Amino acid sequence: MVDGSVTRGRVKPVAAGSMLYLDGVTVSFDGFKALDNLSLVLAPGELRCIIGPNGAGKTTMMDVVTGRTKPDKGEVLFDGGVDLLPLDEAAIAELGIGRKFQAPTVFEALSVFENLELALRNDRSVFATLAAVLSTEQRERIEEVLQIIDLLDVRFNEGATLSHGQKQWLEIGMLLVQDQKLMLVDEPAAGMTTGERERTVELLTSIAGERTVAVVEHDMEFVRALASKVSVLHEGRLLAEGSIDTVQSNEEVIEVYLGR
Amino acid sequence: MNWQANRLVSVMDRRGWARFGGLLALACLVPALNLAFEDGSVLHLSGYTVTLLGKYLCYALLALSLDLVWGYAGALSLGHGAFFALGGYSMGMYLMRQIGTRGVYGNALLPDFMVFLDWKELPWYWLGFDHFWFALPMMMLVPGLLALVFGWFAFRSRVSGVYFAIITQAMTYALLLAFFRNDMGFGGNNGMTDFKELAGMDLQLATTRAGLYMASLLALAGGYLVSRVVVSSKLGRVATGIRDAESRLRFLGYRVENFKLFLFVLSAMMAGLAGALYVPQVGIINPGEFSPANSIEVAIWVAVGGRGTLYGAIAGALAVNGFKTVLTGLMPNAWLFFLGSLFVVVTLAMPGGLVGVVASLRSRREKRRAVSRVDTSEVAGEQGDTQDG
Repeated sequence: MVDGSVTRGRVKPVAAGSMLYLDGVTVSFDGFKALDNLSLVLAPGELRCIIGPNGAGKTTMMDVVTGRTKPDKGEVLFDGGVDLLPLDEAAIAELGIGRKFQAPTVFEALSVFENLELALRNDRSVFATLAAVLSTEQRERIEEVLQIIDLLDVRFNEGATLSHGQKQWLEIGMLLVQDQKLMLVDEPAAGMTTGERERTVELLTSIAGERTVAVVEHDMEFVRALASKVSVLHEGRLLAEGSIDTVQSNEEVIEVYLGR
Repeated sequence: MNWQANRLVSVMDRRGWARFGGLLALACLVPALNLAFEDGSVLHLSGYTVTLLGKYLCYALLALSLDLVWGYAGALSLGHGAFFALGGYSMGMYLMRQIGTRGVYGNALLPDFMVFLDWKELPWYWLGFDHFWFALPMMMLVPGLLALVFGWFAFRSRVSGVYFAIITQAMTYALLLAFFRNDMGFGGNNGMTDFKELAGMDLQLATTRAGLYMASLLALAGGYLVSRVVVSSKLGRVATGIRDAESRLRFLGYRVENFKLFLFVLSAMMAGLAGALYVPQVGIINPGEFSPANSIEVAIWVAVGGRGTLYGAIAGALAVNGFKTVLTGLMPNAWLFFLGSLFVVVTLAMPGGLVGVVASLRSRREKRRAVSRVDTSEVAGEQGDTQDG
């Protein structure tokens, strides 16, 4: 409790003014370093793209931030300095970090509407959930998001019946109703048609500003369209950072992407 | 509050309530036909049948309780027979105390088996079981407590899937061995039997038997409604989410282990009540009820009926047990082979169980009807309509 502004977890002043602060994070699996002394800072309201070849550590980085993987070394601080390392997935989600997975995982047996209902920001305890009744505002919020993600017509269909692109959007919609400060979005454009991609770019750009958004993506066209700052990861380390043009003209980045 | 009443009404649609009421009324006919008509009348139903069906109702409640955790939250417990048996033992202890001085040894202080073991005083955990008001909550609290402790460790350590199934089997097996021991103070190998009366009613009387049947029916109906309320609430949708994508739910901020624990404890309490109602109807409780095979059989009932619907579990328990009664009468040795092959066939050929088969037949019939409707409209020259079919 350094400045008393945050009530949960330990607070470290080094990360003041940042939304996400990773310093010297190292994760190794059986000797293989998935993350090697990675440092990364995201400012509040920023839209950031994180790129890198396969195995660069992008997904592991998200696993560390959301509490699925605990690092061997390093610091992970959120929203000005809340230490995330002692917290589990549910506690981290409650603090305000949401995540969209690489392979879209929606609740297949539930309807689109019910998927959003579960994601809605609300008391997550057992008895509150048992007694939960949607208020008019909550219902309107879900319908608003259904409109944004273009799934209003299929809202009563089961998640399993959606197309790949629709599932991606439903996941983004779940992040929206969750009302999180930081959204980690893993490969949102995978498997989408050109039209769907354009809409996804629009959607992500419009979300950033109020919220901090980190997008992991392989597709360079998509990254260019987002027009944000880019961080390049390679072998678990930060290789380069800057606009897409600076990054693409960086010698090291070219070498990593094109081979030697 | 009014919305709570509304909520109870809204757990089923009009047709669901009509069916529920209809089946309940139909089931009430059983003791009515037994009591209203004399022996020898065509309409008379024997006392044996009433008790047999009452037993089935207890099995149905047990299957229902398993469906709540397995069909909804995806946690296959192969130890539900243990909760059933603990409820049964709680009832058995009460019934033993009611025997009083009418035992073989005529000891007012101790049940026969303790006199036989040369015990001098009643163990502390038997205290209170003289009173029905104490024994009644224990029938649910004892299994509930076991589920709470066991589930807390298992779910917190994220034991799931087949590992959960295996440790629940181990749990019921461990209890089987423990209850076999004479020095546990639960009658050892022989268990408890020779019960006389329950809350002052002679267990041999036809009216008592009919009353026990009705109590089982009400417990089943109540258990069904409680389960319906739970699964139709947001908690029910969280449970479905646990079954299909547990880790996704964690990243949404739900403490999955707490939800599983809630359902597991609720389910164990229902199973305990089922066991408690079962014991006075069969007249005996012994460690055999803890046998691992019993718990597996419950899972088969649920699978045969169809998981994740609640009524499927009830239908499965009634159908399999009805068949068991018929078949063990005809060919006593064939039953286990039949049960095994039934499980294999159901798993391979009808994953939705009986309920799934009925639903798919119905949707096929509706589709055929829709197609024939389209055909007639095509004759009229409306080709555009075919796309609706």
